[in-house]
Amino acid sequence: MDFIDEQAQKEVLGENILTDRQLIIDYDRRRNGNREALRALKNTTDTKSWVSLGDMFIRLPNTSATTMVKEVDNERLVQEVEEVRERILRNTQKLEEMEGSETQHHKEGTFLKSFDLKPITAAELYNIDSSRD
Amino acid sequence: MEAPVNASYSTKCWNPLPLPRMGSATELEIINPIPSAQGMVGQASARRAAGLLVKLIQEGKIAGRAILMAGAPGTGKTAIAMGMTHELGQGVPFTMLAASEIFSLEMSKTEALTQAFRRSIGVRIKEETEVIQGEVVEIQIDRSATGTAAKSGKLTIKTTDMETIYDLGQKMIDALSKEKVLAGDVINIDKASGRITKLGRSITRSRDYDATGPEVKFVQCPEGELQTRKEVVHTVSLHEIDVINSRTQGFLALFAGDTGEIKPEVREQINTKIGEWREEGKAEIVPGVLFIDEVHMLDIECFSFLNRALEDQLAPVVIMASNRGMTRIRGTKYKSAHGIPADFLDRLHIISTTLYAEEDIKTILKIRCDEEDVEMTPDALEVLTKIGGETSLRYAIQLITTASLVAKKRKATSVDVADIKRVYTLFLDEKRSVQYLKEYQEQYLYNETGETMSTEVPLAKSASTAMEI
Repeated sequence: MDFIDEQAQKEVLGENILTDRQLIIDYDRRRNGNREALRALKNTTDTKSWVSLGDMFIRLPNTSATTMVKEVDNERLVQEVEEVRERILRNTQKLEEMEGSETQHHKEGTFLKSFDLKPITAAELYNIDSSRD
Repeated sequence: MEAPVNASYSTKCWNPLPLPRMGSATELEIINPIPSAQGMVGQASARRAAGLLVKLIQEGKIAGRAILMAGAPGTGKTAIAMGMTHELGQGVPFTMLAASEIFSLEMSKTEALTQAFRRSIGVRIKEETEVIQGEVVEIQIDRSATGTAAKSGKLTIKTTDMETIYDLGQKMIDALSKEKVLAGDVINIDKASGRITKLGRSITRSRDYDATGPEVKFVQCPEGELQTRKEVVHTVSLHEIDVINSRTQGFLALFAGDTGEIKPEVREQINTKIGEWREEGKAEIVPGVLFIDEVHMLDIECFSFLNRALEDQLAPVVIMASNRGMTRIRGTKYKSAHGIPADFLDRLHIISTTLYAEEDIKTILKIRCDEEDVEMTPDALEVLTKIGGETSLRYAIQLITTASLVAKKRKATSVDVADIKRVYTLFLDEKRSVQYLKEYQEQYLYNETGETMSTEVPLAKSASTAMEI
């Protein structure tokens, strides 16, 4: 591959990673905002609250406001964050593969491949011996 | 090597996904060693062979293979093995042991070997934790007037990018006060367990007080999102998993180093479990390298154990080194090459190291001089090279330090020929020492054993034990 093409590709990958990281921050900010809202809805004594939807404030009953925030928004956010994380991992792996020879100790870009493993918990690791108490 | 049919002891679970063996469709690349790399000089063909092996190990393409490095003392067998470790990097487990280490009263020989084998096989696993990480802006705790009702409170946490308020329950308040968390601390909350750890104090708060204890650590306010996912990939060796799961010891034995014997049932269970993890995509096996130095010290029982253990599906690459020629196999009265039984020798790849050429000796001595901060005139280096060629490289290296001390005594900045000559007369090399003994042995005690000495004991042995410190 042409050197310039390769550099351009690396640049694109790097840029994508940075954008995605910012995206996660934005999502997390929104998620925390939602969490605070849910808390406030739960503690309030009123039956109806003002909900901001884009440019508009709408007065909604607490129950429907709660379902809106919780089910519609929050669940989608969690899913979205998961997808973005996956994307960041893929892009980082691709980038490492391209720069492989340069990363010391982890030759030929093989190190980040291990991040494809499914997670394991400490309890699983420490309690293999089933004959123990 | 085909997978042996009868080697299914304790490894039934491994059959579905056998580790790749050497020669299974790997393109063999020729690696050209540069004349001097990682402080290594000469031995081009041995290093080329070692480089090839490293490459195969890195790609995880070989396991259960054995390599023998044979060569005269001081020809860089151990140095090449160390170079291989360095080249393999952090990800691949590397165990080094001298063959005499396995003879211990606390442990049987086979147990020691099994442990060494299992130390050299890594299991790569990923740990994943959701954490909330940020700098505490404010903690607000409401106590009821009577002090009996449950406390409640609010915790404000920020990163450089965002800030949020958490409502606190009784449990979290207790945890916070137990950790003595104050505004300005950077904390870490594990989402699954709710455990709080203090990472340090935020740097922006470092000017709050003039006097702080020495244990106060200042850290940057974290960046990015508050709730992050930490993914860590560990490589643990099978032996470590054995130890933390063996009933009698507990994981503290890992630090004490004294692990005792581990029950075969425990190992069996661990093998089964790891086989499961492998199939579920939770773990991957990293076959590492086991280096056995002075392999001629192993006895016949160890060799027959090794023979079988290498056929196990879970075997690392075993590198052995020996400086013996034809010698007795320990534990028998038979002689064999390198002190290794012929049937075992047959399955080894043998790399031989040759004596260094004069050019190489010079370069090595130069490197040693640089390493020890000794300045040497070209003439002196020439003389030392000659000495190194005629006696042994180790002897010449020993002379560097002593000669530099002599030079220092006469207040010279660099070592000259005269200094080398002086230490050469002061300290005998192994040949002259033997010569001396032959001449004067009547004056020594028990000299009747002296006659057999010069013929039976290999000359090299006395030199290598004395200088391998």
